[in-house]
Parts: sequence; C-alpha cells; structure tokens
Amino acid sequence: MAKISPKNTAYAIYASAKGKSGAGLDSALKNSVEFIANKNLLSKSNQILNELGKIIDEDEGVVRAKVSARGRVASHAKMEIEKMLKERHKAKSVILDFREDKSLLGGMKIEAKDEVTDITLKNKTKQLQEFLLKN
Amino acid sequence: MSNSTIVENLKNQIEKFKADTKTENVGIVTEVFDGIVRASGLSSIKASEMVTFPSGVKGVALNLDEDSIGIIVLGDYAKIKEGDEVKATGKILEIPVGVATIGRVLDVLGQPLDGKGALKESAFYPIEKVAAGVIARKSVDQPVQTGIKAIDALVPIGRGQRELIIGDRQTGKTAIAIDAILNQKGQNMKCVYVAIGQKDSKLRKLEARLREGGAMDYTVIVSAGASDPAAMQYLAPYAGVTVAEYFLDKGEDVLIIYDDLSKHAVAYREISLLLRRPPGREAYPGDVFYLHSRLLERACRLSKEFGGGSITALPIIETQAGDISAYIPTNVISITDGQIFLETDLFYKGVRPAINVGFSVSRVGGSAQIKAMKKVSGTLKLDLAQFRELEAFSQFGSDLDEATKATIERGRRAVELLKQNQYAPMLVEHQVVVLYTLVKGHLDTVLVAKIKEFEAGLIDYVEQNAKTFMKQVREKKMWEDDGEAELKQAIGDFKKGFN
Repeated sequence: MAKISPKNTAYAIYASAKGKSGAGLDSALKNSVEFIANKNLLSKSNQILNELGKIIDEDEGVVRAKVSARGRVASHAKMEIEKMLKERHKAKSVILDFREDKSLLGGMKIEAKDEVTDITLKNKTKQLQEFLLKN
Repeated sequence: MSNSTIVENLKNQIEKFKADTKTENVGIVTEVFDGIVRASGLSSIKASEMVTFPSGVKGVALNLDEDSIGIIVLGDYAKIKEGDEVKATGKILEIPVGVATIGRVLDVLGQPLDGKGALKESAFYPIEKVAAGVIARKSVDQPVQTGIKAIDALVPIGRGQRELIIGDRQTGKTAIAIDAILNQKGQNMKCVYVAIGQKDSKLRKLEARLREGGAMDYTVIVSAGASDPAAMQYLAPYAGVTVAEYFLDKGEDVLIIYDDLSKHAVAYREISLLLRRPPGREAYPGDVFYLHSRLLERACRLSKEFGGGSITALPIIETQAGDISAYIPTNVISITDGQIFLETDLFYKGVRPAINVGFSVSRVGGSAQIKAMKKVSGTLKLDLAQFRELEAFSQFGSDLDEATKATIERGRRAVELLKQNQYAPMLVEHQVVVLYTLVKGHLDTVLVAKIKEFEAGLIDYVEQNAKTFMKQVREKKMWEDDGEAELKQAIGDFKKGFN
C-alpha cells in the first residue's frame, strides 16, 4: 500500500477545509483529525502542520524569508529585500524574519523557500580561501 | 622567494578574485545511512545533478521523490549529519579529462590515486552523456589487434565494437584484457582500464605489469576499489568512458575495458535497495538493463565528418558456475556485438586462453579483419566445430576412417596452436604465418607435443627467409602469389630441418 506523506495529508486537509466556515469547517477539521488518528499519523502532526502552513502560504502568495545579518538591517535595505523577493517569487506579500548573527562578519544571508542568497563577508572570505588554495 | 614577492603574488591573486553572489537552491539533510542521504528542499534539482555538503563531500541526486531527494554520497558519509545544508550545483557530475590523464591511476572523481601529484586537466566533461546518434556513426571496418591468436582469428574485434568477455572466476578474463592493452603499443590506440570492485592489491599488480610492458604510456586506469562505497563503484564505468570520450572527440581510437560489470550491477543493486527502489529479478532494480545499455551505447565508431575516432568496449562479466543464462550475463550479451566465452574446464585442461570457440562470436568484427587473416581463418571455426563433435570418438581411434582421423588430428593441432602464454601477444603477420601453416596441412606431420616448438622456430625462420611475404602482409594486409610461394618454400625448408 502506498505511504501517505505529511504533504499529501496536508493537501487533503487544506482541500477539505478551503472556503468553509462555521459548522462546515468544524466538520472538515473533525474528519481530518479522525483521519490522522486512524492512519496512525499523530506522531507526524508537526510535519503535517508545517506542510499545511506552506500550502496556505503558497495559495495566498505569501513568502516567508529569514534574513541573517551581523547587526540591524536598515529600513531601506528591508524594503529592497521585500521588493526583490516579491519579484523573484511572484509573491503578493513577504514576511521577513530578521536574525542577528555576529559570525557573518558583514553583509547578509537571505533564505526564502529552499533558496539561499548569501552575500555575507563570511561566505566571501570562504570563497577567497578556496580560490587561493586552487590557484 | 622573498616575503615581498609572496605578498605581491598574493595581492595579484586577490585582485583576480571575484566573489560569486548567486542564489543557490538548498535543502536540509534529514537522514544519513550507508552512503545514502535523504534531504528535504532542493525543489528545482534535476536527476543526476551534483550536490555539495558543508564538509566538501560531493553527492549525486538519484531519487527525486515528492517529499525528499535521495542522494548517493561520493566520499565519507560519516562527515555528513542530520540538519546539514545541502546545495545543488546545477551541474551533472563532471570529471577532469585530458592528455594529462594518460599514465595515471584515477578515482571516479578524477582525483589521482598514484601519488604522482595533481592532474593538469584540459577540460571537465559530464559523466552522463547521450551517446552518438546513428548519423554520426560509421560501420566497424578497422581491426583491434589483441595479439591473441584465438581472438584475432576466430572472434575478431573491430574498432568501435563492444565485445563481451565472459566466464567464471579464474578463467583468464582480465588476462585477455591486459594482453589486449599490451598489444596496442604502436597501434595508435589509447586504452582505459576501469577497475570496479577490484582488490587494491590486484590493481597494483596490474598497474605494475602495464608499466613494465610500457603500456602506461597510452593507458589510463580508473578505479573504484572493493573498499570504496557502492556509489563510487556505480559511477566508475561512466567516469572511464568520459575519460575515453575526450580522446574520441580528438579523433583518436580508444580501447576501454570494464572489469567487471557484474560487480557494477551488484553495486547498483545495493544503491537501489538502499534508495528503496522496488526490486525485480535477482533483487536487481527494473532499470538494470538501462544501466549497462546506456554505458555500452557510448562505444562507437564515428564517421570522418564527426572526427573519425572510436571507442571499443570490452566489458567483462563474471558468471557463476558457467551459467551464462543468469540475469546480468544475458542482458549484457544482448547489448554487446558478440562475446568471448571462457570455460573453467578448458582452463584446467591447459587450453589457455580458455576460449570456448563454439559459444564465442563476433557479430561485426569479421568485416574489420585484415584480408590475409580472413583467408587463413575462414574454415578454422568450422574445422574446430567438427573436431569437437568427433573428439568423443577419438578414443576408439582404430575404428575410425581416414577422413575422420585426419579431421581429429588437424583439430588437435589447431587447439594446440591456438594456445598462447599470458603477456605474449603475437604480431598479426606472425599469426597469419602459423595459421596458414595449419590450414594448409603443413602441421599434419608435426607431433602435437612439438607444435609450440615448431611455431616459435617457424616464426624466426620465416622472418629471415620469407621477407616478401611478411612485407606484403604487413603493408598490404594480404599476400600475393610470389609471397605465398616464398612462404611455402620457407615452411618446407624449415620442416626438413625440424625434428
């Protein structure tokens, strides 16, 4: 029998609950929980929720990105990042999660979906090291 | 070098450096086991794409599942841990190729294993490539001289052909391949020997033998040893043919040996089972035929407009108890243009190379044989087949008629003549001389036990006393009437003095 993946389950839950409200939504969610319990998927509930979040974001055109930098990111840079991500992923809105990381030395690292744009000094130094070793 | 020069050099290098700021497709390692990594993410990865791990280890994406990617690790998988970032490179696995590979022993990634320093590569070639199409190809019409009488006469190999060497363990399969490589000296041929799952000791011995015979001047060894991961063994033949394709593109002829494809199939089975692909017959995955067909399809003879080079492939298959009807042997037999079947019984009877002439065939090599060889070997296969049928009666010699006795005696001499020592390849013109002597009946009066002695003496004698014949075969690939008369005279004279 084919394995039911968390992604499949999340898709099924989203499809059954989409556009519903009130009693209809309650019933859809109750059925979903029963299904998860019957199929022994409760241990994978976190993964299912994670996938569900991604599906909702995808459907609503939301892109979540993690931005790591050595210090605080200037507001104009934030706007630039938002603009760039909106264009790249054809998103309606962008939610940025800023993190400070002293080890990056400078520049920033933007992680959106499964793409990484690394323009940190740490990465450039690593590239320089590889270049010098190679030549 | 002074400090200021070092600083100056460093400055120059740094000025040349340009940082790469591209967006990369990444994933996260979710599982690591037995040389296999499962990773999430990597949504835009392609099949067979190369990936890199933070430790510098490389991998190849083989399974593109809905939720995860199955990656084979080309290196030490113990350096990879759950949660590591895995980056897609956007490229199919590439290896360094070039003239500098000649004389070197390389691993699957093109890294030297011989301790002779870094490789100065000319280019990088992807290891998976679509084989040349039918328009670019030409029929096989030039011979690969292996120097082994039984092969060059009965199962001739042409440049661009795929000829399988098949047999049980310890029947001399590798020996044939090595002899074929050794005989390529001065024949305008590059050689690639791919060792798959071989013991390092065997590889070292082989390398030393090739070096001793001067064959490393035109040979590359690509090795994935028995102690290497299955992923390396799986990729080894593709890496080997990639090295060969560099020379093909330069219009050169290449001979490639895959030693052996049974171990290759076993390595692929191991990977496939670990990747949870459904097992089929003998637990091999469903695409094991494609595994070998796409490899051997890359052997070809290109037409002049496409460079005119060739890759001749000699894959080796090890059978179990002579069972050529097992899964992998039948697959490879059906892919190749013929097979050289080696038999344990013959080997222990002292018939070496232990080629079973009845089961061996070359489907396209006949048109590549030189005219002189074709002429002398024409009836030999038939004579040997008749001899084998009648051999059973030979023990009742007194009851046989003269014609049968003659066939049996001729067959015994043919079998004796086709025996050849290892590492003793024979020039094609010498082969023509000894086979001519056999088929024309000049050996019928020579004792079987003295055939070898007769053969060695005759070659020396003919070299001195039938120079016209030798020159004609060497240069025109066929003798003329005056040359033949001279040879007949020389054989007659030599026989008179031979006891």
